[in-house]
Amino acid sequence: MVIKDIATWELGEVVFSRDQSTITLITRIGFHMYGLNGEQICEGELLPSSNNQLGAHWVDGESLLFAVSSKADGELMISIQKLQPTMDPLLLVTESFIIPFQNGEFCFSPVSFHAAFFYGTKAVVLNVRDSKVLFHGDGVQSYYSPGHFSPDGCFFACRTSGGSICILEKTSRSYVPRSNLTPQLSWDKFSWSPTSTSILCWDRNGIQLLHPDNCYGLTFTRPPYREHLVAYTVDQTHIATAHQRNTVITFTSLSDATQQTVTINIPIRDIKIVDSTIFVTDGTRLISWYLTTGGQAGSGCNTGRENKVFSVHTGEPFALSNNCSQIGFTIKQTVFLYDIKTQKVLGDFMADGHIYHIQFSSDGSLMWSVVENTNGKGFKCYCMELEREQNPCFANMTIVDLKDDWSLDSLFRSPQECRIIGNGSEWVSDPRGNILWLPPNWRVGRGWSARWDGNFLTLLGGHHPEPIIIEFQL
Amino acid sequence: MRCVYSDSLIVDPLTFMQCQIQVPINVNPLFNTTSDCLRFVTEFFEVISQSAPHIYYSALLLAPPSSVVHRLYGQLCSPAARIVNGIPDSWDSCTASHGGITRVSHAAWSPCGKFIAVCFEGRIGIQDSTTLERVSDLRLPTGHMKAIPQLLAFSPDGHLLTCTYHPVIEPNLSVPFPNIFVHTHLYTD
Repeated sequence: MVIKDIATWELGEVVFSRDQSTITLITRIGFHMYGLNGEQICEGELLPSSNNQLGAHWVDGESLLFAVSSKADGELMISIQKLQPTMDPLLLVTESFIIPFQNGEFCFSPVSFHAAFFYGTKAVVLNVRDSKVLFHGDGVQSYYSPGHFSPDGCFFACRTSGGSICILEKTSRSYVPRSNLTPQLSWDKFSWSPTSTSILCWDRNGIQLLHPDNCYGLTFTRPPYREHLVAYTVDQTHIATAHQRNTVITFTSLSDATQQTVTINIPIRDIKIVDSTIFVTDGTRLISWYLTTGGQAGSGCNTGRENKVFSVHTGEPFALSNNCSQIGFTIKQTVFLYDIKTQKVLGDFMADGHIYHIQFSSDGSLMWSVVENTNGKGFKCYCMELEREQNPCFANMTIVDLKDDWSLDSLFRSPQECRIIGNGSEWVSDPRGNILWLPPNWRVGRGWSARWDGNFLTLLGGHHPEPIIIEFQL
Repeated sequence: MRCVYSDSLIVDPLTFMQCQIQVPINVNPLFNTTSDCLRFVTEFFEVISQSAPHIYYSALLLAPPSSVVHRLYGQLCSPAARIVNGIPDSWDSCTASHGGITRVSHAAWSPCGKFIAVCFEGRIGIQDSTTLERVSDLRLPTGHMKAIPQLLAFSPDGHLLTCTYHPVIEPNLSVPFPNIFVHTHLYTD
């Protein structure tokens, strides 16, 4: 039941008074106090009125207090300000501390009177009462805001390299690293539970709950955000994967999951395996390596054989046909089909909107382009038959408007096959029904990060440290 | 229902469960098993709540091989799939997650720690703080206008919930101010 709808001038955080008779809206520059009947009680600005930064606010007894950092006469000052709604002045500075540091993003613990500042990739935690530095994070690990002290003042958590959350534990003399938590989904904000035992983090992709003590020694650093690329051998015994624009190809045996890696000195944009040859392109040339038995690159893997240098500048999205004779690429809203052997553009067409994805059919006779409508509402799929003997080569183009819940699987996989239907769906289904539930961090928006080859599904993406490979049994 | 916990402390079942989830492994075998079972249930709560047979089709397949549940019951798994690569060796620190296509703009803990209020597009979800299962939905009664909830705050006793929101500007309407809703909260200690 809604008991009051109060119009305000700005958005901000709301704090209740202890007796719950008032709420205070805290905005970027000030505060607005209201009774629960909607009547405004007072409003004002934090001190000083400019160049300040709010590090924390908390309720102590009947009072609302703020910890504010500001620069005065070249010195950094942290002041504790108490809101007195019925008195003049409204804000009373109860304590202030000169801090021997530069101003940086700032957070504060009202329990311990410790503060943390972020400078670039470094973090400093100090006791504001005596300016003693309790932690100086400037080593191999990077530290970034947001950072929050736990409600009991025993821990400090902040973002660290690779999207992890670093937990520091307060000891009698300093803060020491306790653990690195690696969320399953991406995140940009987090908060401690009231009991300081859990961390909730979230962003537009969802919410997740982390327990610092439930980390049984598992920590890993995420690779830089790059999409994975994937190619299967014809006999489906091996899979080759690589990070886009990386230089390492990993071969995984699909029978026992053993892996071998090969370093190739070009930034990889696509890979394909044709018969016993692996083709790699960086968007300007196509290079091939011979695969020995078992899917490993042959002895010539350090040199490779440069097959062709493209005579065009290729944009994204980008796709290599399965027989490696053609590439499809886009520049702005135009799709180009390029023949690698003749080094000629065979044809192009302008799509009506932003192009999200292009893909060749397995036999190379069709090319699909998924395009967002110019009004930003909905997608459509262009399906083009490729006529190699004709110019232009695009023939019999059909355009299909895509329904709201479309996915690549709904376009390109038959109902008789295993597929993921629906945007971000948690189910892999086949004619029997739902056959596998996918954890939240394995779900793929519209299937951009899912690649099928027969009954093998590979889930790809920067949020997975390595590709997830699943074999479905019919 | 109440639980007797270690030093004869009597606590409610939720607190008991939360304590168990947070206890490090390798304390003792019985505790390990209990802790691991609870971890299994919270990790796979979403699929188990939808379809119990997927304990055998999905959850056991996806449980880390080193987990007690997998070691005890892994042979009962009857999946239609085989994970070639991608199963973590052990549980990670993420005990529950709720992903979706709806944008999350803010979340706030209830003072008792049992619930989490989450701002989704156009509504507020009240989630269980152990499983992240949705307990209730609150809609913003903005009449003919759409609204984007932004920030949430519970009152100290957990009985009230505020939400700051911004009405979506629509044609033929003057620019509305941001507002605060104060909700009575249905879930109390």
